[in-house]
Amino acid sequence: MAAGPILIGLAVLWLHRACGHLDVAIGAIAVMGAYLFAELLARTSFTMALVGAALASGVVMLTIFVAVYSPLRRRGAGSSTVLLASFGLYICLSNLVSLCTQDVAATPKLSEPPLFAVSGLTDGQVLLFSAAAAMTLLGEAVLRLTRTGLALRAVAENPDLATASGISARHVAVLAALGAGALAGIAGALTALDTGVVPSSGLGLMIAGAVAVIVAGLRSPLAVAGAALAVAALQQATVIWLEPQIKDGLTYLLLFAAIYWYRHRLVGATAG
Amino acid sequence: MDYLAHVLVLLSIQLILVASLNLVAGVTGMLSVAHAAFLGLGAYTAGLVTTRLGLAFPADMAASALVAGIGGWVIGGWASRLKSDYLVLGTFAIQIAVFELFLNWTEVTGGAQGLRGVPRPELPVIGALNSPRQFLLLAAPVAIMAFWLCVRISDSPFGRLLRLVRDDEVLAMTLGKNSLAAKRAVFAFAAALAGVAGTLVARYLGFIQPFEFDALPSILVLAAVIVGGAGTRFGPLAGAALFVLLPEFLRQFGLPGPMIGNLRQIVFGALLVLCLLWLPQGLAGKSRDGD
Repeated sequence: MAAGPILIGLAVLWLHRACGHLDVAIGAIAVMGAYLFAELLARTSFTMALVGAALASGVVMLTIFVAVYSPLRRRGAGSSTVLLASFGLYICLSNLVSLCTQDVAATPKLSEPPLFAVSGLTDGQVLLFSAAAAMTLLGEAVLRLTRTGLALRAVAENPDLATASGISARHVAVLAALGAGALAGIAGALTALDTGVVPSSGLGLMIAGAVAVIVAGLRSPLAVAGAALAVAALQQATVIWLEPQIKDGLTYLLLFAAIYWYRHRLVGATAG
Repeated sequence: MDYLAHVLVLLSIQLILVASLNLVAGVTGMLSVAHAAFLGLGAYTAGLVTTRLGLAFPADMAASALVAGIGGWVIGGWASRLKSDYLVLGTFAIQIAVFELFLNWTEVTGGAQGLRGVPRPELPVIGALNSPRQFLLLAAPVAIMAFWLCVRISDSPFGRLLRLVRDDEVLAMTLGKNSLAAKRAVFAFAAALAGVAGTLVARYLGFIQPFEFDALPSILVLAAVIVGGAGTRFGPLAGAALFVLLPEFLRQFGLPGPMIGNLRQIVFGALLVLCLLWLPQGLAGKSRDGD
């Protein structure tokens, strides 16, 4: 239940660290990835379909970064303006998907019988959970152990100082955009395997990821994963002990409470 | 003729929404994405007080404005402490939480089935406003009054305080102004106006569904503010006109309804991005008041 939000949360975190804004368009890119994955899976192997969807999603995110976010930042736009632009892009992309697919759900299926013999879990759930765990650990390792991760942290902490130290903030932002798009594509593809995806699913996917990122306080991938698990546990507890209908409303109130609580500490960096 | 009147009724409702959000987002600089929540609060209040309590016009409109205004006062109190993209995301979260309330509080709102049977209002002399032409006799004056009120507030000393808060909140506080109270007050006022628009929606359609008040309409109203020209006098008029007339224009090409809906949103999303990139002052940019 928390695996999709973890992957989207990692994409949101990745982009926020390098570009300094929260991005709603990631939700639409995840949905595009899901539909592309479903199309590719009908023609090729699972691995090729997933790689294709991730690559295409990464390229779409990179194009958006180069064509919209980067020019906006160069003109001195604040993070709220870039967030608004991402709302516009979300509307464009999700309606484009809706037009192209006639609102038919993307429900790709793996081969029968199930690949993994894990009781009570579908293949989609096993893959989604494995990908979330792997990407969290990989993200943590990249941030802590590699030069690119160090550059990303430097740009997130202080972009001016990072640039003065010879780090190309734009180069870092381009890499982050590509990575965030790919992560969103994978999240969309594996969510489609698990529950199916419709063109309007993007907003819910994105918000679930954003809740995890903001509850985690824009910290490390592990913190995002922990927050996503905590939010999912809270939702399950709501379903079991309270009313299932208030599950989503409670999540959004939690998001608002987290934003309110962290309002003096959530400061975005700028780059690009 | 009824078709033209129908379009003008829609334009009137949209004008109230865009002009009121322009006070919050354009004049004060609070990019709120929760306006459809207040529209919904107004619509459900009007629907409930007319169908269950039997209140007539204008008491239903006053009740809607009051409920939405109180909602705006409470939410505005929290939102005025948020800044930048966290204000956008915070109001967005509130918007979706309120939508979930509309959707799941079935005993009161009717849930996904909605509220049916909201009667058309009756005016003295004219009687029941059954046709779009008759309804326009109510909607147009209300919209003009709301627009005039917004312009008057924007041009008043309070409007100048709001622009100061938008441009330099620290300076406003240094001058002894209570910026939080000003932001909260304008948020509540705009919410009350959105509640008035909600009354018109409920009374015109006779049927209220929660999906009319989800996050997307909020984003589109904010897009209309920005595309029209945030903080400008006539920007809301341009934004509302574009918002209402675009689907009518697309209908000329004989496209099917769902495709028109998609295309309208694609065009609006693209216009929002293009305006942010190349026309930050919007279509009515040169008439920016206060500059």
